[in-house]
Amino acid sequence: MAANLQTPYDWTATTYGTSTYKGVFIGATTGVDPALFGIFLNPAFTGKAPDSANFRSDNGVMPDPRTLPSYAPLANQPVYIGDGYTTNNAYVTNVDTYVPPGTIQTYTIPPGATELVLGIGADQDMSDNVNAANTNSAFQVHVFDDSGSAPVIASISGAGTAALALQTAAFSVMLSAGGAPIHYQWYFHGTALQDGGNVAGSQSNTLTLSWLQYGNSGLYQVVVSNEWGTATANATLGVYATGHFFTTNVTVAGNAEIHGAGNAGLPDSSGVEPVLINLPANSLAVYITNVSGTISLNGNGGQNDADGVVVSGGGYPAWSYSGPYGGISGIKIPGAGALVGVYEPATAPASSTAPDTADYYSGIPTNFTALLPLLYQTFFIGDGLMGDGGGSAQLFQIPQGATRLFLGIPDAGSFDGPPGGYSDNSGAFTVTVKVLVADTPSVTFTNVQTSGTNFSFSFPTLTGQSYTVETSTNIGAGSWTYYTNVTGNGSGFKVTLPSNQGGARFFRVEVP
Amino acid sequence: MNSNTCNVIAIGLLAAAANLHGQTAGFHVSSISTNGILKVQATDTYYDGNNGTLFQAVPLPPGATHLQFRVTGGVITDGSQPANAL
Repeated sequence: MAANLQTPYDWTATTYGTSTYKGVFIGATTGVDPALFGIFLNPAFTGKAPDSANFRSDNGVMPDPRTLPSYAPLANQPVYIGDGYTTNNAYVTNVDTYVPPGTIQTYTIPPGATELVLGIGADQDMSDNVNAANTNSAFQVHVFDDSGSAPVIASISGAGTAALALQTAAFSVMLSAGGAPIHYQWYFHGTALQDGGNVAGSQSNTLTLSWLQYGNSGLYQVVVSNEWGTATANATLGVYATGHFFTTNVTVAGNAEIHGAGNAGLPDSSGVEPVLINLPANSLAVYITNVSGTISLNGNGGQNDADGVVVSGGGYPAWSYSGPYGGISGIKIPGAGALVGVYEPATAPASSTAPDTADYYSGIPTNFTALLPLLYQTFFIGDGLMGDGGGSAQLFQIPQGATRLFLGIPDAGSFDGPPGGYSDNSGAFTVTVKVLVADTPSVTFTNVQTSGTNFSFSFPTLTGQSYTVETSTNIGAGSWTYYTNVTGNGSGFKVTLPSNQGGARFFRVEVP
Repeated sequence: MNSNTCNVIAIGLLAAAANLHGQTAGFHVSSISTNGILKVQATDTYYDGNNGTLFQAVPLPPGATHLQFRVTGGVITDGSQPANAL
């Protein structure tokens, strides 16, 4: 046995670095070989070594060190640690599930101590100590401290932002205090955000919203929490655009099969292709207005309006379901024969991966103010108004990547099942489609001047708009060289460069 | 509202996990090392290193006033059975 802790033991004037300290007395009980010890070290200490701590249980000075709930050592004074609990715990291998008995011991860090030293204590002969190459040949010392504090939010950058539609906005929360680990959660009007779509960083200190839509306007809140407390802060976002309407009038036949959108074939050969509207670049949203007409779904003279409501005749079900087909989702609607739409990019749908069916009968209300469907997901349009035949105009937001809008009618045999049953449909809806298209901001150079050896110019910016400055020595060049990039903040942006840049140069600002 | 409920649960789990091994409120895994774990080999010493290997001192976490330890594993000091930290 290398260690002998049965006898009080004291080192004198031993050193750690430039420090000097004495030893430690350990209890004269049983089996204290090879205990874990530590030192709260003050590296700058050069004076007389602190007195040895006396943990002996047989001298009436201190209790058995293994039972102390807390201890306040001096700096540079060796202290008994053991297993860190007030009871002697078994040899532990499964540290993740084992819950030690007893109470964890608390050690007060002495004034002046800045470092911690650990080691096997009171073993005069370390030469026979085995250090096998497995985890059981060493002590794993799990350390906990009280350095943390409740989070304190210093600021949110971007709060009160007004951003251009289709651009990117970000909120970033800065903390002035808060111990790790810190959890962030962003909310929009009280609903926890999750990453996906145009949302990123919903559980980080920076929330980024890309491809901004009007529906992103509103109140945002971040909740910052750790084990010591919670802090919250609010931010608002207003999405705006300067734009114009692209308007077109179309007729949607009662047998226009919505599931033919972008597909090479139709699910029912008796129907016709849906109406295609190519969306202009920078399209923001769609309004459907001036919807008129009725359609018949079974040849018996009954007529339904664009909301799927029976206006003459009768016998139609309270709801209808037209299933997915060719990568286009199904749709469940109140009534039958409503006007519906599908947004798509230039690429045809993948026949094996249709989005989830949207349920407007028992799930999504049809009196929404704004709707953001998924690509290839059939969505309810009706008459484009919040009520049946009246009410405010509804806003159909355009998912990122969409370049095409298809309009058609969902149908199925017996109004429930795979798409079909178009052979007995008749009539049509006439529709005005108004596409709101964002204007591309124009750029005007101002304050073009030289000052000393510098050349500079400025241009006004719109908040949230991205601008890329490029340069070339040839104004007719096919490609220009990137110079700098800026996101507008509503004020002028000044470009300054030294005049000794060679010969004549040209600059241009590109606005995506 | 479902998401809000989940958030509260997550916070609760965090607190429960932090106290799994009995450390008192306000203590958390220290930043003193990776995952808050220091490994002490069987030959590590806290004194001058003439007998064994002097343990490399680690900086105490800024702002901390108290530490707690949970020591697992064991070392062998005489070539026979491993012993725990007591």
